[in-house]
Amino acid sequence: MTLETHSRERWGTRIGLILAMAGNAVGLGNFLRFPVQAAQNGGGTFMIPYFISFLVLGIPLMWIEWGIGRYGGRFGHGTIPGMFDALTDRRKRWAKYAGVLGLVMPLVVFIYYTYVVSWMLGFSFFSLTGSYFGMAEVQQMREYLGSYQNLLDPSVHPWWLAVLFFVVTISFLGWVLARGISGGIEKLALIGMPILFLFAFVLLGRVLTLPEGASTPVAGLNFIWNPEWSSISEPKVWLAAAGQMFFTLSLGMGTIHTYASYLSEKDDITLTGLSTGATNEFAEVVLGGTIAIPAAVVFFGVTGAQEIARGGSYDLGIVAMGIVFQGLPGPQFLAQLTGFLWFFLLFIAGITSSVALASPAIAFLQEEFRFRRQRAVRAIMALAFAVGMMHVLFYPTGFLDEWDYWAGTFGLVIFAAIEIVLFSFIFGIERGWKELHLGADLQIPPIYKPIMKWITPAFLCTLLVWWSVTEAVPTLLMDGQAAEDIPYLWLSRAAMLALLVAGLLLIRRAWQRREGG
Amino acid sequence: MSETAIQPFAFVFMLVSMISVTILVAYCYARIMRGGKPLHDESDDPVA
Repeated sequence: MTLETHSRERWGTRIGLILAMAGNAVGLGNFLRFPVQAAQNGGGTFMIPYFISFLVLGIPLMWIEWGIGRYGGRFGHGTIPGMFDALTDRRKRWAKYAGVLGLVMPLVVFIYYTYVVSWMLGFSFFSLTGSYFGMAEVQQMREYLGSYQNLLDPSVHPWWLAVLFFVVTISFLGWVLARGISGGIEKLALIGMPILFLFAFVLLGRVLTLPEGASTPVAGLNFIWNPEWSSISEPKVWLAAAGQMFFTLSLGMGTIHTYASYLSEKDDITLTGLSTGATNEFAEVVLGGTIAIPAAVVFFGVTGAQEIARGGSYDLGIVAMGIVFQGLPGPQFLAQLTGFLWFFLLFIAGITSSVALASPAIAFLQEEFRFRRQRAVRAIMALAFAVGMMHVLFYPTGFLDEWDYWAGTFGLVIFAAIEIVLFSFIFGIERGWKELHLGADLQIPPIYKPIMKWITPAFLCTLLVWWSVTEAVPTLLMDGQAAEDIPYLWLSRAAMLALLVAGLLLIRRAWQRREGG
Repeated sequence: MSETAIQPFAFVFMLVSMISVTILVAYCYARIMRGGKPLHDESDDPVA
């Protein structure tokens, strides 16, 4: 069978593309996960494995994903099954089925991530109205937010409130996505990303000028960056850095591919790809590392902030920050406004990632089943709402965490391992290298050829083995889970598996249609 | 660890990390503005 080429939607401007790709990468993790990871894994010394991971894992894998996406787009494929099929010159029947991960995983993540993003919209609203002001203890704040997340706990919030914000968020995403690549996603990025950076700089200025409380903002910076030299020799620190690189650049997800598929072979991907990675790193290292933890240290002291950071990103970004805003000096409306800036910043970071996560499934329906874009968007949003309601209903049981682990963490590495083997060994690194340089504005240093062929795959395999042993097996066996939650966790897995099977069946049907003309 | 000051090594790590990513961003955008071409030049033949 020959590889036919197709005309498809296109990005409008280069800056729009860069901001949309950066919007895909810059998410909640930049502002919540990064500072916690840095503080827990050696402080300043974490940045050594972090930057090495950026150079030998993040950047090469990102270029490869851009390359696979643009190559697939040339043959009318905006999603991984078709891209893998094209990469193997349609000679490996299994390749398109292996690509199911790049089709279903972003959809799975989209469903639960959008629910989490809707919390940020809710908390933006609560900040503006000042409804949590007066809850100055960590436990009070947890109960306040817990009532929002647990529909069966109406002690503070009515049951429908979380559903309402979820519906508003999904409806907004649907509206943006229905307007297309250039008219919807690109415009959202062109408006949303500058606002995100503006809010982040305002918050950064506010945090660094906070008066001394339990401690100072400078002590907060010291807490994040103070090096623990012994940590540099610990494998877990290196793997934490590699893991963070995956999350922060949205690698192994299938979203970069879909966005890149709307480029032509004459469009540069090397410099544009590096620019989006650099923009993301700036948001993470400069802004993400300077807001939440220093603010928490000022109000809770170093020991208190350590305790909070140990509780994870949610405790730091929502519970602790909610208390921090209440204690800001000055009039209450300014404190409420600062709270709004923080949560709305997270909301923008979240929605620009959500539109990317929904894009592969929409592109698949459009291209393989000839859906009009609006119809494809409606179908995916309806599915996301229906399945997402399971997260809304069962959140307190750990239902969402199960999806987050298998699709949003472990699955990324499996998918990335498959794609790099296909690109470097089956498509061929020489052919791949030429593909990356079509229309290039930046010559990739030649050292990256052996890195892409050997070092990045080796790094990925190590990560995969390590995570399998230390996390995947205990998670699979549900170690430490409460007995009453186990049925919900099985239901969670069954729902995910059902989506995976549906994805496989749809791929089979799509190829039957293609082969049948 | 002092509760109110930043240690010299922490300061160095922070500064080097932040300056590195800022330089990378500045380099990329300077290259794009100086000589980067716009997307899919309108005069190009359509791919299809």
